[in-house]
Amino acid sequence: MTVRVDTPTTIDVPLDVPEEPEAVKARGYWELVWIRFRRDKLALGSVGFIIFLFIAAFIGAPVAAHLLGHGPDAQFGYGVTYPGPVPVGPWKHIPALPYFAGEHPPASLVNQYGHTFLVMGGADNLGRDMFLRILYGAQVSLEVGVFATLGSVFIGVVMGLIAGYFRGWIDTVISQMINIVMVFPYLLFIIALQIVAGNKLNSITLGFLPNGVFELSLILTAFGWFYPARIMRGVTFSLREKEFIEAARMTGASDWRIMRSHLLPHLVAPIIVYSTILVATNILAEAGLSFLGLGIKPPTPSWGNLLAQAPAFYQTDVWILIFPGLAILFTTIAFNLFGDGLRDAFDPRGTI
Amino acid sequence: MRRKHVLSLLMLCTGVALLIAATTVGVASSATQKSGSAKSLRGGTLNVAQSAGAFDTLDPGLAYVTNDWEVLYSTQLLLVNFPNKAGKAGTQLFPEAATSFPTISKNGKTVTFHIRKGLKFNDGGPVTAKSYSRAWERILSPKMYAQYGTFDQLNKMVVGAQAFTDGKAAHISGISAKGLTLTFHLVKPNPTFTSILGMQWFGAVKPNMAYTKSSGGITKYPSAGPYYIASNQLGRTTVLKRNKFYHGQRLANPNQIVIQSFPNSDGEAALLQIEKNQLDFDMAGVPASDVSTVSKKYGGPNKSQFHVGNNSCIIWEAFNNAKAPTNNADVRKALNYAIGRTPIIQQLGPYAGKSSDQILIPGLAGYKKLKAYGNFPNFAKAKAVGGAALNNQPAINIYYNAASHFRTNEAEFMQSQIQHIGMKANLQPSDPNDYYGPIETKGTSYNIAHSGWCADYFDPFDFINVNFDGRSIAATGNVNYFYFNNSAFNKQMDAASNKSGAARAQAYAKLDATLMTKYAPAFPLYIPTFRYLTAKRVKNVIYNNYFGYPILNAMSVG
Repeated sequence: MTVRVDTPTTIDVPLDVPEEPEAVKARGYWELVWIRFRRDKLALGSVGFIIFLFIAAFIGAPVAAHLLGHGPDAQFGYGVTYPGPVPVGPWKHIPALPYFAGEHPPASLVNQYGHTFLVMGGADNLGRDMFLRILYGAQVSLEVGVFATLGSVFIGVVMGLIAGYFRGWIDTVISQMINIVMVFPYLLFIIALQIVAGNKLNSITLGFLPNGVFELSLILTAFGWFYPARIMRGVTFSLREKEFIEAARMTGASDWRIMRSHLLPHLVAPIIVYSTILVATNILAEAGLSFLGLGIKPPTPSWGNLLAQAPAFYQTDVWILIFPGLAILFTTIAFNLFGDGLRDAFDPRGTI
Repeated sequence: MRRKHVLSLLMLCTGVALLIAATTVGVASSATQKSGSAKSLRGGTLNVAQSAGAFDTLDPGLAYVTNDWEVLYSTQLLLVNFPNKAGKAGTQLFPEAATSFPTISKNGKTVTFHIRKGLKFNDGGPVTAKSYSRAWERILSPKMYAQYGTFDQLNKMVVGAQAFTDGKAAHISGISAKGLTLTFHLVKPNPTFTSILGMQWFGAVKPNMAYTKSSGGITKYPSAGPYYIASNQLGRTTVLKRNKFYHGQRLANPNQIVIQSFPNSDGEAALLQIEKNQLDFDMAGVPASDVSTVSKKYGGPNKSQFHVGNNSCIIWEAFNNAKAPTNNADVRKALNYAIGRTPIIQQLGPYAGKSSDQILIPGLAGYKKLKAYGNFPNFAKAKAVGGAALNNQPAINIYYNAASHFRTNEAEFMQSQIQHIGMKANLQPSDPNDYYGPIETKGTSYNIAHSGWCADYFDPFDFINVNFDGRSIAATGNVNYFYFNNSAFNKQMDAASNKSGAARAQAYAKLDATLMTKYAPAFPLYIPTFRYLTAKRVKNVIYNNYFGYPILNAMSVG
């Protein structure tokens, strides 16, 4: 007997075929950089700190001065105690008299100047408000750091690009210039410059800068360009041999066009990375020079010259050392972490 | 003699011999100990720092600053000099190279010294009368960088000195130097002449010691004092070594004295080194901000290592009377009211000194306490006195030594006070290696410069005439940092200098008052003390009120 098998005429085979393939979104270079960067929490935090610092220095400082009713250079005789003299510490109220008029100042004088006010960060050796001086000092330090960096990077990029592209005797000459600047005893030069033309250079403000910022930015630019120049020269050497450069040359592009339109965009990443690190270096250099009396001159506050007072009071008023010291420390760490984060973000081998 | 007696005799002789030997050795050792006590102060190297400053020059023909003279006192052999004694005794001159105080003729115009025999320079050369006449020539010669002697009017004291100063004579005809006899022929009797010779300008120098146009002078030369300059790099290190040919009464305790200058240091490092016995003494003293702490640590002044000494000086801020706006008397008076003395002195810490608003100091003939401007700022009074003169004026340049923490504070304080009366002020830091050079030069750009004056000799002429006689102003090398030149006042000074006794004192008292109340060419600040620390090993610290320093050659580290 035959077993009847119902053979279907059609076979329904379920097929999970999507209706349309999902599009793969192309990510741009900068987007990739941002994605890699935002994963670095430390770098993000440092960016936040830097933004906060700029706001505090350039907006917060004038607002604070307005609210307190005095500027960073205003001296108050009772900001210092005697015998000593020893500056008052943080979070103290002092009378707003401009000079010390004895243990018990005359009532007429007290009435004339009226109020007392709170010195949040303590006072310095002349009774000036340390809180305001640190804020205004941040302006000076950031201005010097940024302007010197811009100048150094500009000159360094131009010199490095020219040296790396043209090679030959041009590269030799520029390399020797780099070597000379590298080994030049710039501290001795600054001392000599201060003696010869210090007062004149110090007074150049371009209408908006505090005294000494222009001079110091100029000096740090003159002695700082070699670092980015060497980096750019090395990168240009490697890029110069790439096919796209040869292709550009074959299309008849001039040397300057090749450098501007083909090489320079590839240098943006190292420029940005080393700029941030250079800002930290220049802020430290400014602090060091001002501490030695070769940088920003009093009464203009800078973190360096605020620190310069500290040795006289390290036994009695250690706050004068701590506050500007911490400000320099956190700022340079923030810029360094920012630079590290950028370097990792620009690295094409980094994972997304 | 029987044997036993011989033996006894032998024993007796031996015993006596031993006794004599023991006694002799005892005496010898005792004698050695006694002479050793005197000699035990000698020896070693005295290590000295000079913070926040440097020597202008150690050339005796050009040195005119207290720290220069402090060192020259140890190297110079003067006809009459100050002894190595403290207190008032230390300010009394004694004949050193001279056999005695001079013989003065009946008319008072001839002063004769006889020089001791056998005095020698460190190179063995003899000290003669010509050694001292050459010193006079070097302080007045137009071939020198500066003719500082003219500020004390030495050119008008000795016959023929004016012609020499003007370059019209090869030598000063009024000084006769023959062998060991030195004779001065004075233009007129001068009761202060002998005391003038106690200035460090008048030490013995080689008769052929050259003139120099260099502001640093001759850095190394033979000396006849307790020490000589073995090496001298201005602004760096100066080494003094004991002069083996000096046998005078002044001490020469250290074998050598090494002085290192740190123009860019504010003294904090030196203080730490002294406390750790790595350094013996700092010529800048204890930094103002550390005086209170140091005083407490060492039990107060003059108890152990921390010392406070008086001196015969006045510290002031010199106004440049030849440059706007401080060429205006009303502005100068306003500044005297506006800049407070006590607040600045307070910044110096305890035992700093006493405020003063006049030129003469206590102890000088003619000193009469003047209360012209007060100790605290008075902005209202300053504005009232200054009036319209304070308006539309160029900024005041405040010149200061940036290497000194305190000088920087002082300059900033003055700037702030000046701004309170509506004027502008700029800070002008000096070259730390050469503070006085720019302000000694006519046409200088400063308006206010910190300086002061210490007595060359104890007469008001030395404070008033020397500093404020405008006829002595030259192109360079000025002492009149005020560039003050008032013909009426010049005549009054001339008249006062011709007086003597009570009349002289009265005349100078009036000059002092007139100078400050009418012209106010300066801002007198205070009469200072010198606060200093010595290392634990330093003994025999003798402070000299005249120099305002402890005597280096007396300090013992042996």
